[in-house]
Amino acid sequence: MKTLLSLAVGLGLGTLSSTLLAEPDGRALFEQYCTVCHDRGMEYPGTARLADRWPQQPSLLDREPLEPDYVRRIVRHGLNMMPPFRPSEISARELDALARYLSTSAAQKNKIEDKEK
Amino acid sequence: MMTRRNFLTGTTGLLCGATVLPAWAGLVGDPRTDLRPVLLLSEHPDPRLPFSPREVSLEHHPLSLERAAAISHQAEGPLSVDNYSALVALGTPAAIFALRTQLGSRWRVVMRGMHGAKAARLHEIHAPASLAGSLAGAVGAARDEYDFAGNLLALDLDPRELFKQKRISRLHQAQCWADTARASLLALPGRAV
Amino acid sequence: MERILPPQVNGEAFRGFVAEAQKAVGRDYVYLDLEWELPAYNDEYATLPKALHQPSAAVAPANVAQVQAVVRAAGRYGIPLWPISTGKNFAYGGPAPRLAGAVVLDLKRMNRILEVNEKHAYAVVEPGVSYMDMYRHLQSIGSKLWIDPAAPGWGGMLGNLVDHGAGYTPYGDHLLMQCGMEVVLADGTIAHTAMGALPGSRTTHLYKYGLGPWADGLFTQSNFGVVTRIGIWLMPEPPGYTPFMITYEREEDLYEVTERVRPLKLNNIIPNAATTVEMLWEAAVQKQRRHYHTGKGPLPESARKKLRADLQIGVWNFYGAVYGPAPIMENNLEIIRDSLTSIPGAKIYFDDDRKGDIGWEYRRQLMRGIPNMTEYNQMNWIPNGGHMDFSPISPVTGEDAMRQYSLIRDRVNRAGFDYIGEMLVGWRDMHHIFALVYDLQDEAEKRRANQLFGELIDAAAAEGYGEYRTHLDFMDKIAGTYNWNDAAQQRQRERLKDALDPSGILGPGKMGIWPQRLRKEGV
Repeated sequence: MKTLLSLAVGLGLGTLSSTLLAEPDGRALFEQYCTVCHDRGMEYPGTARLADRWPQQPSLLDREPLEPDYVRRIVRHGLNMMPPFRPSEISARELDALARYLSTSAAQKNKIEDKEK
Repeated sequence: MMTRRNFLTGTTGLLCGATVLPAWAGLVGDPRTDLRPVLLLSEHPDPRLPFSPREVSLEHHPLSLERAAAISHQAEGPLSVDNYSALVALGTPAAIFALRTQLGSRWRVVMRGMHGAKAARLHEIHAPASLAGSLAGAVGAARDEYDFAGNLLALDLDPRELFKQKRISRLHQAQCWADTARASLLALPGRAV
Repeated sequence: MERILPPQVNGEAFRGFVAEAQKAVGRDYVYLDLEWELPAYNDEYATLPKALHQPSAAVAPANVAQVQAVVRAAGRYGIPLWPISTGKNFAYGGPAPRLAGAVVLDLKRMNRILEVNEKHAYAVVEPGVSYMDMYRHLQSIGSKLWIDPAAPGWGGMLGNLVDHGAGYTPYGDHLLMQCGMEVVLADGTIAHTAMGALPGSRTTHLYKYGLGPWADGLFTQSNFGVVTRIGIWLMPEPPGYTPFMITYEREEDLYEVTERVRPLKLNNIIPNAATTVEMLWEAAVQKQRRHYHTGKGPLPESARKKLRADLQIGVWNFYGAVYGPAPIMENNLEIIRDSLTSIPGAKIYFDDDRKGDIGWEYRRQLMRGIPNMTEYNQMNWIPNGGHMDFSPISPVTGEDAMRQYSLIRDRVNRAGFDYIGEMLVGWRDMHHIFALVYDLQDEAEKRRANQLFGELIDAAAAEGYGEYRTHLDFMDKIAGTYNWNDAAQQRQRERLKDALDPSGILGPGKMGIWPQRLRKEGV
């Protein structure tokens, strides 16, 4: 059996983006950090929580545009059962990009794009 | 740090300011029976409000993004519909958005306004059809958001009718109220779910 | 929010440290802002005022060299550091430090997966790698290795392991699967433990113990060094996997279930962390309390009955799995069925029977190494609950299970809370996890929860049960229960602490271990 070694795989979107000075990808950040709780389905705690108040759009993927300042506030301070995310996880620049992504319409958030990697 | 529950008790006690309003202000429903005050949420503790002949009570509490984001979802919290006959809020788009998101489901938002967001003199009103139409005057006559709130409070509204109607958006050209984008909100108590 | 400085540190020392930390990691990664950075380091689920565990700052190094520089700077200025990995265990305090004013040493940015070795079935990770990260990576490279995640998938592989955490596959004893460790000591020295201490070693992650005393354990649940890398054995995907669930109708069935599970675990017929889950834990991950009962206080029997009917669960719900080639699985399943389903009222379910059931799905995933966040739905139970976990260890006997269950349930119910619990059976022990869930918006309830927790510790210790892990608020108290022979173990740990960290800068108060200069801060 061949030995498969994958060495030093960097996962840090934060370190990567600040090193390359690229604009952080809000959608990728949402997928990395937020979908674990905010994807579609009641098995996702964030979605289950929001379903009471927003039965037509419980997942953030389907939600109307959110105000960026509000998103920033929630991410850094938490909101009820949602704990905050630290700047070491989502940097200030990344948070701006994430907030921008969440300020778009549901259609825009879910647009299938050609991802250039 | 702001805790969830002390949003309204704050650091200066329960009432930050109380102003007496004209009793013909339609938002208090039937003025002969509904003695509950109107809740006004805005940044400044002493809003100016236009004089009117009848007496109705108004309760003011400060509003900021921080406070709005900390509001309890619970029906029994300090923003309970049981305490007030109506809710008017003025603030930054983020604060008003946070408030709208955090309000319990028994508050029915009947009007959302964005003022100077898309262009300096442009006011976007999102409301039931009958209200959206009559707000043109309220927007046009207002020099600032407090004038607008006063005009809102002077309207004669039937919650039952408003809750039934579809929401529409209307754009109005009028005076610019501030250097930055502002938002407004009017909510009425709905039936218990 | 005001900045709180650590004890024995003045403004000048703090500023001196900050300047050096900024030089070491870059200004962007020293977090000082009281509005937009430090609030994220609070204990979001605190039952006491958050200021008790509020850091003065946080520093996020990117690599080991930066960790060394920060640790040395902390030593020069007498700054207590509180190392965290992913900092996501909110049942025990999250990213917040034990000592108010400490500087959080946030290792999240060190999130490289250094190696995945398919041939020998292990991986080497830095502290910032979460179960989700590793799972996604393994999927992306087409690996045939499984991880063993703790229940909320955003947790850290390294952090959970060094805190003695556990999972639900056959590799559920995380510390047992650790092999090889890199640690930065209080004087900034980097040490590689065990086989890693031989330069060019070919077996760093293959043999745990090296030569001489096995010191890796010293750096777990402790403050003797900053762990910056570990090797973890990963389970090669077996040819088959059959999870199952058995429901039981009566409270007292716990006795018989536990007695029968013991030999099945001892003989490895059930190779994974078999878990007996009480009905409210099942309910809490998919329902809200208020749809069954609107009053405060524990759920009445009528509501419990309705929940069981709606969710098709029993009072106790046993989850296990068999793994391997089909003949082995079939053989072992037959033994399991004979033993565990012959209790009256028992019903066994397999995947086909429970498709779409949220409670089943998340367990099926966990027992097979797929991380998820569904257990976090417990916070929705009230809703908007916070939680602290009370986790005594028990022998695997029916008598002990029942004793622990009534000991906790009775006190919890009397204090006005729901008993939300499960019992995970490992090699020889049972982890009894009680999730104390409280309304985050009710200050009085939070204080009651804190008080109750202290009472549970005393009650368990009086019966010979100690906890294996705990929240910041209770580290001293629980450490204090391990006081045999005039607290010989504690005194030994303090001697080690003073030798390994004479300046007392690493994690003061972790699990009740205080450096000499701060010893009076503890109980």
